[in-house]
Amino acid sequence: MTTDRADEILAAWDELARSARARHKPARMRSKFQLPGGALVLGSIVLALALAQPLLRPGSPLTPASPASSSPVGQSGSAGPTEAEPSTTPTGAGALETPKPYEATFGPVFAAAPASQQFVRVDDAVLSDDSLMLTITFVGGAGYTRAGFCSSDYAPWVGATGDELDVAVAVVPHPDQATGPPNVGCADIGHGYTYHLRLAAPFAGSTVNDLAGGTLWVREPTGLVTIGALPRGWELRLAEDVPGAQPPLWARVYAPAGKAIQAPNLGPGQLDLYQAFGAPTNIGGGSQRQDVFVNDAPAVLLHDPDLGEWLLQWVVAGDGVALVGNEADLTLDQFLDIARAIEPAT
Amino acid sequence: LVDVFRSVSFEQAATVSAETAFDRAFEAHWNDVFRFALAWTNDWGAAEDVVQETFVRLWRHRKVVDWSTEIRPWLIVAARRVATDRFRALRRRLRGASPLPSLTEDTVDRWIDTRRAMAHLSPLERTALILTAVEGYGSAEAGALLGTSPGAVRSAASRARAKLLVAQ
Repeated sequence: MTTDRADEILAAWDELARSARARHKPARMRSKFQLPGGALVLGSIVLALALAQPLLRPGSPLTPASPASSSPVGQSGSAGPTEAEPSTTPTGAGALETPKPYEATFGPVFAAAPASQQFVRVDDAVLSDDSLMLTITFVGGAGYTRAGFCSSDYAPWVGATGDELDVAVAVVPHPDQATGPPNVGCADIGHGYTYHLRLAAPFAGSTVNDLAGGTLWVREPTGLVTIGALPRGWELRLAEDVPGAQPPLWARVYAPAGKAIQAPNLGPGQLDLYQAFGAPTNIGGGSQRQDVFVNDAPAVLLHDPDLGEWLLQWVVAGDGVALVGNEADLTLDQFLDIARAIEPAT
Repeated sequence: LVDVFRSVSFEQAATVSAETAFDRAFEAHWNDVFRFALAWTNDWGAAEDVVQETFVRLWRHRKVVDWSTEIRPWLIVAARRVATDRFRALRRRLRGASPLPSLTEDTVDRWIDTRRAMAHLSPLERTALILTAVEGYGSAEAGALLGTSPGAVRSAASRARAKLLVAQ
């Protein structure tokens, strides 16, 4: 039997890929009660808390009556661990310190400025129905303990700028935090945090500026372009911001009525319309480029022959616009006709 | 009041069950999803990121996923969607992730050679070839996972093999 060059490459690929191992499972995904009988785990937590009580720093969420020493942002007395994670970190002679929780409530009083100028990017922001609670999520390091040299302390902050909100998650420096042994790094483990920020007054606007960079919308932004033509039977199925996009983007997904839509950017069967505000959309796409005009405006058309995807980007009244369609649903002419029917906000 | 407690207990029981199922899926299919992601991205670090995000999605959907059916197809389709998310790729670029975060020194060179050869193929060609020639999927099964027709899979795999034969 002869082995050709392709088989050699595939065999090498197979062997290498087989050797890959999961580096970790994010902490939020670990089962809370994996041991037989959750009471055993809960019991160990209670014991750990009892041991740790004298060592809890003022401001720990477990000491609600005290001001937060590490979080000068008005952490609420209701803050407390919401995950029964049995992780405690030894400090000193066998004592235990409970990590700060991954979910907590803060406000409504916040300091005049964030706790530091080192920010973590906020992934999502959701406003409560009464507009008085902003819930933010972000990914950070392990919950802070003084002895945990891989742990991190975060303090959320909210401030108002006109009819917009500024939000920040600041990394709180701790000079007394333990340092790791030489040549020992920290595992690249992401922990999902959820912070609920009580607002002093209902927020009536839509724009939330993350001081780490980026914009999140908690309501539909104003000044959206209109789309005047769609394939027969298609309708708006989803409208949301694009987490982490730079520049900030608002996405609308159009699809046949009744078709399940979970997110933009899922391939055939839908049209995605992205809008940036005062900037080009700057979206990457297929490798085949064509320069075209849309209503006399220069536009770039990218085609991905593998996915059958069309991506058209141009500027409408100062705002970058991107339209994504698929040749499985539309001819190029039909796709361009839809683009031509996109007009500035009225 | 009794009914309220009863419903909470049932809900908690269901949650524990879903979490256990998730743990099993993670242990059983991490490498399957990684291999698919590696075939699609041809980037070791990006593939690890895709797997991570895929399992985050499974975790978020753990209460609505039908655990009575095989979960691997769900994971592969989710991984494809994550891998083709252009914003995820953009975020990754902005973050400046390390290109080879978990390879040992003695495998880095082999991977670089293999990746160079595979770089001649498009994501669809690479994945079609890996799924059919290495993972043993039929073209219909592979097509379902890739969101394309069996014919397109056969054609992509054939093109891929021809390109690899002359790859340096």
